[in-house]
Amino acid sequence: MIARLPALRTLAIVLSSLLALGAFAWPLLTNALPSDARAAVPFVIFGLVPALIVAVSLLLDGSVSSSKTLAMLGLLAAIGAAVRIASSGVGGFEAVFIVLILGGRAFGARFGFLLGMLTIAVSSVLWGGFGPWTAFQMFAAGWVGAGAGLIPGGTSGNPDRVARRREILWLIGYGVIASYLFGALMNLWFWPFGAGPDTIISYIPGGSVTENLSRFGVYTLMTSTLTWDTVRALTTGIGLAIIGMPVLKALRRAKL
Amino acid sequence: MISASRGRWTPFWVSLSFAAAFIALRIFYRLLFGSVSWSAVGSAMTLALPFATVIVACGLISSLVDVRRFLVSASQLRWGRSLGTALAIALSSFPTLITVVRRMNSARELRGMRSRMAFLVPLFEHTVERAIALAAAMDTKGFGSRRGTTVCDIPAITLSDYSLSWNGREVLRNISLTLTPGSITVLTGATGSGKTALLESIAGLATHFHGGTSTGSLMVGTCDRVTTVPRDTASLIGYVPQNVRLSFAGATVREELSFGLRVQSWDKQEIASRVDELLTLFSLTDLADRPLEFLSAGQATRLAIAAALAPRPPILLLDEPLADLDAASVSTVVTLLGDLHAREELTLVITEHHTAPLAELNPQWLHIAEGKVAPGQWDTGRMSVYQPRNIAVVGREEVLRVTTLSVAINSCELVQDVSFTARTAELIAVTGPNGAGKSTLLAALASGKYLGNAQVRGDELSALPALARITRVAFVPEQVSDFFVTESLAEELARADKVAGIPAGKALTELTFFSILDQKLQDSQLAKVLATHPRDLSAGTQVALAIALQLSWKPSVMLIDEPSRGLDPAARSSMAEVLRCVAETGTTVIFATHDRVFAQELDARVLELSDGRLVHSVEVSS
Repeated sequence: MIARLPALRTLAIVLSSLLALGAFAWPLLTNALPSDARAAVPFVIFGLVPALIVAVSLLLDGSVSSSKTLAMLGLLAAIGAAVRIASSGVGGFEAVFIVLILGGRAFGARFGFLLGMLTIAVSSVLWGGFGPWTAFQMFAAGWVGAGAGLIPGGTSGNPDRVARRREILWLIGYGVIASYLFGALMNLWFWPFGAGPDTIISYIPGGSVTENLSRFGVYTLMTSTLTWDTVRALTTGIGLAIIGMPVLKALRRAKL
Repeated sequence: MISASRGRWTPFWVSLSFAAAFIALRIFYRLLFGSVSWSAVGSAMTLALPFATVIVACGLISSLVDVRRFLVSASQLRWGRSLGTALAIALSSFPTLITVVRRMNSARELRGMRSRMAFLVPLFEHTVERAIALAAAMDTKGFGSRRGTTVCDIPAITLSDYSLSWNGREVLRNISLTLTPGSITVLTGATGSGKTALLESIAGLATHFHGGTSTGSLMVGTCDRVTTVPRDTASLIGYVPQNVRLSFAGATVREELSFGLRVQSWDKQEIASRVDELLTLFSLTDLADRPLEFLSAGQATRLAIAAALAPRPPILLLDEPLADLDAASVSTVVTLLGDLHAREELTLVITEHHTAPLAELNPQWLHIAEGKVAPGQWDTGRMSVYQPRNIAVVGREEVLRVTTLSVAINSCELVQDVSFTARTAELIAVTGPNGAGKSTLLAALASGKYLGNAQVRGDELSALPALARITRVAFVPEQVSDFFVTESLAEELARADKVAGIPAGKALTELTFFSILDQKLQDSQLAKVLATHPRDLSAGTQVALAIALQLSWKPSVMLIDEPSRGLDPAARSSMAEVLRCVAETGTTVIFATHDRVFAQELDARVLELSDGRLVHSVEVSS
């Protein structure tokens, strides 16, 4: 029944996303629970996120059925992995975010979300790297793709160069912010495991939100914000500036 | 099953290294942000073990379970069918995408551009083109069809007063035509005359897939094409599109043959026996499990025909099946079509420029001009195909000297012991069958990767840095569209000036382009042409553009791979003129072609290659 009502489906997807966001932020939310229940939270999270992935996939499955959409989805999901692998010998670069953002922009938020999930699934299947983080990565990448379809700056009809340039500027801004947010989100759920106990950047079970947040701030700054995330933000921004306009035009010529 | 991918235990080893890195990081954080002591290291390690175990367990699971095995049945799932299909497409297209990425990388080097990012543009363009071709193939093979095909006993194709428009432009006009069951029809006509549009109309793609609008009626047997979507006629019509490689849905020969049968829900046993039958019939048995990116042009064409015929459709449509093939493959394919027609009483409709080899099928000839169909072959005789003209500037000066040049890739000698010289403004054709080493020879000269010697005016090519080499020898590859990184002809020409360091405002490349183009334009047309997307230019114009882009480096020698490929006779003689114009600038032109007539028309000196060796011994002047 849900599949027949677009509004209900959108609502279900938004709710699943919010639930998933809660799962990402579990270290900050366990305060509300009695202390003996806290130990169970990580286990619940590891079950919940993959279940949400399956739920959202099934919800969205009906909205992509034309052969054109599926072919585009499959090929774009493979291209990020292909670029990474084929150019690794010559100092490869991270093209995945560029693909997600341009794909989401050209074909809409739903397509972008599915593209993000599939891209991670494809590279996990092809090159290993499947782990407890895979489901989290799928959600985070899905949000990156979906966001590109939701931000303003859109063009319609036959836009002039100024309008198209403005759209790319929006996307570059979004790409940079998304790169840092992606890194922070992926750190957030992993932080209690990544840092371990008994350090000044460790998670304190049952500690106050402000104290945990400040410790997490140091952790994420040290581990990825200044390094990986910055590299990703730069490549994404520069890449979108160089190829954004012609690639968006090429994708839009496909008229899904 | 899928090439260019991991070994079975790779995920396990990857997870082990992740787990080790995880433990190491925990110890590192503990020492850096906690207390420094051996007991701290020990406790950090012990506390990290549970999560590390989870990581390794995940790796072990993904080593033991091969997801790809389940994807084969993705199209039959009740829930999640769409995403399963998309994932299957991603995994089976991945190996070919890798080769495309490598090709783009080498195009970037050949073009003399440093920006790695810019070459994502042709990569995306390729992806869009491939997605559309693949989707069309999925539709014609019955993907997503919910009801069985209407199979008719007498599948005649009848058009009455049929017209087709695309974006408001009429491509086919008031066509009335009947193709009787069991007949062979060859459609001829210039590029853009509407041959493909007619074929796609019969296949149902023109209106239902590409969004064209039609008037009049088109019946295939008892199916009304106007209302019947392509996926519902999959077992009635087999369709072989123009560039077959773009439309393959499987990763291996066997997967490709079974794809259509699987989506039409044949049962497993039936599929297996039909695939084996096809493998024998099309002499593909030895290639059954070969990844598709390793097939030759002839093998790929044979596979595409076999896959189209898999569900035993009574009608087979072929769009320029001979375009990419050398003489040997052409005769194999033509003989095959003749046999199939005799044995299975197929109705064949073929579009083709190379009409001579098809004459032995004794077909009904039709030609299309300006959207109208008339009986008989397209009359190319009226055009002056070739006007002999001497090139005044052929000098005596020796430009290129190649001595005992060999090329080996993966210890397989593709070019052996080739020696020749070339002089200023000379036209040289390197001929020979597919796989003789023509492209390899040209690519080796351009990349400087060879054994032996190749000198341009005394400079050894292999010893020069890439950007110096490109001013001696510039290369135009077969896939010229790999070179185009912008969205209009004007931008592309301006970019070439910039890349080659020509001062802004000189518009040198633009000048070159229009001077070699065998086409005079009015000022009013010029603006429109300059605004055209490079990929929307005709095939011949795209080659001319790529040549102009490379001429911006002012090379002494221009190497061109298959400049006449896929061109109709008119465009071919224009291409001959383009090459002559390039030679008249004083540039030595060496082009590879399997089209000997084209070489003869140009009056080019012929270097014939066979199995990587020069057949005609060529004098090396002292």
